[in-house]
Amino acid sequence: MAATELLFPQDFSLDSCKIVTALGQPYEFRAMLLILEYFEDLYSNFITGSITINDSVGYISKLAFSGHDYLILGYSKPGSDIKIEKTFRAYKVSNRHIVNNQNETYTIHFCSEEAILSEQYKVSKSYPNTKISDIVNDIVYNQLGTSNTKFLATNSEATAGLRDIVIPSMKPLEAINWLCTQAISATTKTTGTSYLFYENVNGYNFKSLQSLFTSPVYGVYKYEPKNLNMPDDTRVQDLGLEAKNVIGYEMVSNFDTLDMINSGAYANQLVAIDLLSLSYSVNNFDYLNYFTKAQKLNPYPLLANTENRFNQTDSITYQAVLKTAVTNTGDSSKNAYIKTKQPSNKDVNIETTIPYRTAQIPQINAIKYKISIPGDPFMTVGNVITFNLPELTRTTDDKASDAYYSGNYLVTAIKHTIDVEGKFMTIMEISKESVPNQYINPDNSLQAWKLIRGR
Amino acid sequence: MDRKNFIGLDGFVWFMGVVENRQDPLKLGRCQVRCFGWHTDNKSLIPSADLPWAQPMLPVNGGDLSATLKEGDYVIGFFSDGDSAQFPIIMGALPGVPNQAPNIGKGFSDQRNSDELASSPRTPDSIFFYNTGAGVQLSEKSTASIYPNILNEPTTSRLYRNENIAQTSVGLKRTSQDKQVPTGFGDFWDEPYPAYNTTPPFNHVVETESGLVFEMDDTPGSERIHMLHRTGTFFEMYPSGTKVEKVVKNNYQIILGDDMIHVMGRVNITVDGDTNILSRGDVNLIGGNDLNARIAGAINLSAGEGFNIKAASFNVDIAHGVDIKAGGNMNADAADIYLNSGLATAAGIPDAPYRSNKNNVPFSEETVPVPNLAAVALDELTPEQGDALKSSPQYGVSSANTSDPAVQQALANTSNLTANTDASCIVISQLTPSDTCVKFIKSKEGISLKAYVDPATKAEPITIGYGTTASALGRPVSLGDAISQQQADADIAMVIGKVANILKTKITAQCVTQGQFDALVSLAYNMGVYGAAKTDVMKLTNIGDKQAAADAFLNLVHAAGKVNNGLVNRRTAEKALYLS
Repeated sequence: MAATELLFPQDFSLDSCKIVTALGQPYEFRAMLLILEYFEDLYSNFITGSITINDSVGYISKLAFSGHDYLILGYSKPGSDIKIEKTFRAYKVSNRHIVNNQNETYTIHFCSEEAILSEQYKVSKSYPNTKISDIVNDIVYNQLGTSNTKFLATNSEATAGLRDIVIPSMKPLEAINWLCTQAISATTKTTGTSYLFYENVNGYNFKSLQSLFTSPVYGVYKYEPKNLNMPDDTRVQDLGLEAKNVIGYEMVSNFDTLDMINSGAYANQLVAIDLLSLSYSVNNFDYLNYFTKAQKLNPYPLLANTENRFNQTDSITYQAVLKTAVTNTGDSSKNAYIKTKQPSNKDVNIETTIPYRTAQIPQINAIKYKISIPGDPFMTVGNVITFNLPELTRTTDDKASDAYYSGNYLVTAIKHTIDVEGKFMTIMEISKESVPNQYINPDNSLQAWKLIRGR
Repeated sequence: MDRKNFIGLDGFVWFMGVVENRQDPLKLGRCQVRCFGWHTDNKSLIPSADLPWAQPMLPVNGGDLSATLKEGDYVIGFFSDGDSAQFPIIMGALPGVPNQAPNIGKGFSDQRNSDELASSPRTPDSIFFYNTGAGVQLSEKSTASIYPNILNEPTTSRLYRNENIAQTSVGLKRTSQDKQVPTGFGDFWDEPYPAYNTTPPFNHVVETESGLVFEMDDTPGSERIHMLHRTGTFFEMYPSGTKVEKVVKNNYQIILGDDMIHVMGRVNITVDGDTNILSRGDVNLIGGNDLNARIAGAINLSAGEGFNIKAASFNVDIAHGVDIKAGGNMNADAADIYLNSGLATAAGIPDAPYRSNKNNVPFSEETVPVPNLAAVALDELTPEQGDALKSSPQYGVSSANTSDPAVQQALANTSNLTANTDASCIVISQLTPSDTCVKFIKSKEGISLKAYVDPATKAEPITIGYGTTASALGRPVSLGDAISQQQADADIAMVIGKVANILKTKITAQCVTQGQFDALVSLAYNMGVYGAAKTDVMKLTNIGDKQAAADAFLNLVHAAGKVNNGLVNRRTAEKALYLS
């Protein structure tokens, strides 16, 4: 584990694994480490993990673990100048087992400090005439006390428009997640909804899904078992290539039309009721129309223009998911009286945020794989990777990539695992909302199609 | 099916809170409410001005805002956007018995500042009722109070609770009854004692912050409807069905159609001041029995056409002389004509065919006509003409231009009337306001060619031009109206003319000077001709005490019970004009 240069793809250097208890002294636990698991999730606000210890000294008592302890993890990749050190809160001890008279094992669970702090405070504060991104920044910096090195300004994507918001006594992270549902990107504007607040190797991030889709590709990963296409094992070992080799993969979810319809990914409808102007508006989400103007991981939509027996495509059956919510006459130019009397009235924009977010979240989970790669401590959620899945057909050459399941994916969850032998594995959950090749659009006028749909 | 973001299916998220501001810019009755649990009481984190506007839920039996919330009220409601808590709706207010003074440094209390309190409604400090026709005078508090303004007492109306009633409008009514009002029948009546006798919870009360009250009391045996203005003007329907209506200032009743009144009992009308009835059509007065008119002063009947009296008998009992003047013939058609005193005479009947059947005295003396002063110099008058002049309306013209001591003596001795020795004294019927008068009034009234509210009341009457109002002009005047200078001049000339004509009917002196008349016109223009007629100025003018009348101008300088410098200046100038 302490190699200074990369000898194997999964080489990894755990520089420190220290626990600081109420005694105030850091104690190095690397030698006693049985397994380290480290989790990142795009839909979780913070990093969690655990270390399992083989303790022959009785530290659990001597160090007075109380759940108010800290774990300092320092790690690096051999051959890289980048060293990472993160401090976590060790909040729980579990699975304590006696191995023999001199040894016992137990697991110490850790999480980011903000996870604890967020449970201890409430935000009840008004933010008049403020961008949502500025509200999030204020909560992170001032309500959670997070440093600007852990939440870089560049990792906070600016939102569009000014709002009058009163945070109604929410936990800080709860408030941020609530704000995520209302935010619209200043960059991608109307399609830039579905903000996420998550922690990864770079610290905290407040970004929209649409902006993540435009991230540069972190790497091209290919499933290529070593016994394929290398009959003579004559290839020179390329550690760089092997590091990008997918050791194993598992399909978590494929397209599920019923689920996609049910979740509103293809079409949904919002009836927005304006209590000031005593009016309402019907706002329809049309996936195929949306796709033409949205940022995407791959160039083609998940949906063909197949019609049902009522000659409608799945992207215009809006009432598949019907929502209704309260809005205001934020666009005061539509109402001269409100414009005159209450010019400060701000648009809450639910006509955009609710239909788009309703669709975008299930879309990104439409095609999801779990893949395992040699440990890469810099792989993190929010990255975009290219995953080439070989086509399961016999060819004499390198396998061609699957036309629909290959392509760019967003890393949505990660689990880094280091075992007692120092073997480092990274297991990722990757998802995408689009495909690299166009699904076949049927000729809906064909009699055969009509007959089948009519049954 | 995903029901998140579906009104009605995302759970009912309700709140309780305190109203901190009701000045809704959209005038929808919205309030800014600080919600317990949802909002901190730390005003630096959430100032009152940042609180979301909460819409009130209105009752189904009326779409308007008959009752509005006020600062400090505890309310209950729900968030129409669920736990996002940005769109609160108020369902109602909670009554209570507050026992803590508000902490304006923190939230959850009335947050009005001193300026807002000064412009907020409040009840009168005290009310004084005049019994002179001047109406009522209110003493106002300088500022409203922070709510709750009364501790350890329910927030419900005292009129609902029947507690501390002496400190309510009922207490005021009980101590301000009109009593011993004389009637034309010679008896008296009292304003009925207030019928308030509620038993909670049967009285439905709306009592506003300024002291306006509306009650519908269902208390068995004490059922009432009562509507009261903060000045004391009210109407009340009693449990018996009796209705009492009291107006503490002027009363106007405008009926565009017919007015039908059927009184099955008797009618008593007692008027402490003058009574004027103007009918532009016929006046029909039909009595089932006698018509009795007892007038302390003179009765003046004037008919543009004939004056017809038809009765079974016609009796006239005059204490002193009877003068009948006919422009044409005087015809008496009777079986017999009896003249019981002296001789009857008539011009053109030299033979005196009518004689008294009592004293049998012949007509030997002719009535001496009033000399025409335009044709005859005073020093040429005979003593008989002097007597005639003395008893005529022209009496009072100067005797200075006669050099005949005998004429002067005759003038001095012919009557016990007070002689007006002012050379410029003019008989009333010949008086008109002078240009000086018009200029004087213009200078005192000032001019605005745009309509404006009355500065004293900050409301009606709307005024335009030289202080002229709709009632004086006989045409509507509204805010926003504008007139030309020519129109303003015409208006004031017309109004001064009207005032002068009425004023002349109030002057009983034989004559006054032009200066006196001009000053009186200015006074009447300023305070109303009927008001001016009741002043000492007019009374003293009518008995000929010119200096005392002039001095009396300086007593008419009060407005709202206080000396008004503007009035002091005007009256001083009017006095000078009067004596000019």
